Amino acid sequence: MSIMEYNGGSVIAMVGKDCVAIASDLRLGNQALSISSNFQKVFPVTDRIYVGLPGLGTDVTTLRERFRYRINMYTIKEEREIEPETFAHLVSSTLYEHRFGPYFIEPVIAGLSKTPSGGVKPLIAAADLIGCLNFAKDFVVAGTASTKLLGVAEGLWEPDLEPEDLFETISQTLLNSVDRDAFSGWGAVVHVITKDSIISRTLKGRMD
Amino acid sequence: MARRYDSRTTIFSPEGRLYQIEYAMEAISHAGTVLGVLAKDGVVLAAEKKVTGKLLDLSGEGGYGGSGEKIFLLNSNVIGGVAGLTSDANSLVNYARTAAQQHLLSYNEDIPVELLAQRLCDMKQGYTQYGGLRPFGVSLLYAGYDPHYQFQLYHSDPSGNYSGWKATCIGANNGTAQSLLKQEYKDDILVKDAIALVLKVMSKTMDSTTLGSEKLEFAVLTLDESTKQPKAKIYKPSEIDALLRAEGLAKTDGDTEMKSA
Amino acid sequence: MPDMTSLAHPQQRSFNPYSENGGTILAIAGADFSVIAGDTRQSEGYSIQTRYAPKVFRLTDRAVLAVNGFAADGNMFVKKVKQRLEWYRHAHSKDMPLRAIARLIQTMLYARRFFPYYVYNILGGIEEDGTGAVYSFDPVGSYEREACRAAGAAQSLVQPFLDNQIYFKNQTPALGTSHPAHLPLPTVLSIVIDSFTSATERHIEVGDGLEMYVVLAKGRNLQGLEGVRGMQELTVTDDGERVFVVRRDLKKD
Repeated sequence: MSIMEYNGGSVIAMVGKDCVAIASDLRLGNQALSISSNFQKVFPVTDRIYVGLPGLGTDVTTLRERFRYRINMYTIKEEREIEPETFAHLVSSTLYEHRFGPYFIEPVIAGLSKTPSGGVKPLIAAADLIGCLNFAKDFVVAGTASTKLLGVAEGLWEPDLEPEDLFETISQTLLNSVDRDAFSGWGAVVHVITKDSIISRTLKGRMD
Repeated sequence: MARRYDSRTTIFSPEGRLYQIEYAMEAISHAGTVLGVLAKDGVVLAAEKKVTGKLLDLSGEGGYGGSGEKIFLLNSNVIGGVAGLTSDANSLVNYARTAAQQHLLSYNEDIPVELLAQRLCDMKQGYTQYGGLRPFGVSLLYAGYDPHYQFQLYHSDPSGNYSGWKATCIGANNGTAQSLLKQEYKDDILVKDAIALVLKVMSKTMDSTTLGSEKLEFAVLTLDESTKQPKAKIYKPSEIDALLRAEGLAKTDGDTEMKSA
Repeated sequence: MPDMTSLAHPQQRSFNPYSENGGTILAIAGADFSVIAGDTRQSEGYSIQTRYAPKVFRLTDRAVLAVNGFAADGNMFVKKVKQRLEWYRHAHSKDMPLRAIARLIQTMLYARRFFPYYVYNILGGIEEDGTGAVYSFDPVGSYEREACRAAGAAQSLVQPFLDNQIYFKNQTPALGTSHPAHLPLPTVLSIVIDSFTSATERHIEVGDGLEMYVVLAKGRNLQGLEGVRGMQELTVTDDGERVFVVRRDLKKD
């Protein structure tokens, strides 16, 4: 029985053309018993940054609240919103603080950073439970269905997908991967972040 | 061994007074005025800047934490106005911000305004009794909202004492301002009227002849109509000028300083 | 100073008869053909034992067996199956039908229920009725006929991809249309190649080379295989079914 698999759940983030998408399932279980089909694991950090927190349920809530604290302090003191890359390092240092008694979470970060010309640059990142960051160019995955997500994403992803196409790709990747994982599923939610808006959709998938 | 220097900085005088606290208040009476007025649908804060000048770099964006020296965002539901030693004030503002976040972390709710005032006051009181450290030379006004008691205005001083007010003033000329407020303030005043009242009183108590964004800081706390969440707005310099123009209090050309030859 | 080792719990050493040799296999059944593929890398831990060790074997002109798991057991199992098929040929003057081979494999595996062959088998080929078939097995003989199956190190990466592309899971067809029940051969070959390149990217035990076996039903023409580079025919009899092998390179890192 691994602590990382106790509650179940998976998250994936992908890069598109001037957009990013982040998606997760909605299951919370107690090992094989499913408890909730409504357990949020992906949270907004700013208008343009989302963070996904798959892993032990209690740490999902705690980390979400700790990040909220630190982001509020940052925003109020810096008088501006935090940038995605900076936030990724904040995640990393928060996790490393507990190097010898870690949070059982492998965060996934998706955001758009502002460029000097007024455009946006997509950024995704993932970390292990003690804060090792991975800035991938294509996609990042975490959770109990991570190997499945990796396989399907590798097969379906291509560069420069428009927001609508990115939505389809990430949705198919998530749905088919969690269907092969007993501990993930029971609902899914997808957020597509572009320069002007964030569109969040709940997916219709197998509820078994 | 060094007996001459072992008296703590905060000890009673023979008359039963704490001089250090009184000296702190004396420091505050020379600082820029901060004025607060409670309305039915919000709270208004205004302050006079003392640190001004052409060479000051004011190019920061502001709007989030407050770009000024007097008015600061403490939390999404509380704005603070400070009068006194700026360095002490910055330290207290930082403390207030962490206290608010700590409460959010523990209770998943915005800190109630009075509780925030109490946290600061408990700390300030400690500096009057323990440690041999001098008190903070700062008075604060807290303009805030919580679902329990709606809009509130508090004032705290270096002694660690606080009280709730409908309208009050700290810093230089606060006596004048306070009596003006006593005359003019009406219960059930609305924010738009409170703004007018605040600006009127400020123009009478401020050192400079007319109001302008270089000398004035301004903030309003209201409730967002749709979300029903507190909305803190610390005005940017351009917005202050626009407000003054709207209220008919803007500088006219005749009042500008003499241009150099 | 007390001897610290005596405070430790009891230890035991023993010989582990099994080892894991990595690699991945995959089989997809079409309407009148079957594709059975496997990578050619054989590894143990972080070392590559060889870049070319075949895992897919032609049993008859209509049956191809892919074996994955512990290579020694896999190779020996194939030899034993081939031996049983030869005995059948002598006894019955014909090749064993595919579903009979599947059942034979089950009994052979279950006979070693208490010291199993550490092998995941996938049998692919043409049934007696001319349809493409895939049978997948667990190490002790539990088996099932399917349209497609991936097994081995990258099973978790490849199988969900196949669910989406072969079974069209989580996909709704456009209004007025429906998903095809069987896919054409060139599409299937592309899906197989894409599956292996994806698995090679993300799994260290997959790579070096890819070997794909294509079994065609009796009377089926070579449509879909024209112009396939480096194709080699392995058909022995002229009963009708034909077997081809196609080799491709995979990343060697």
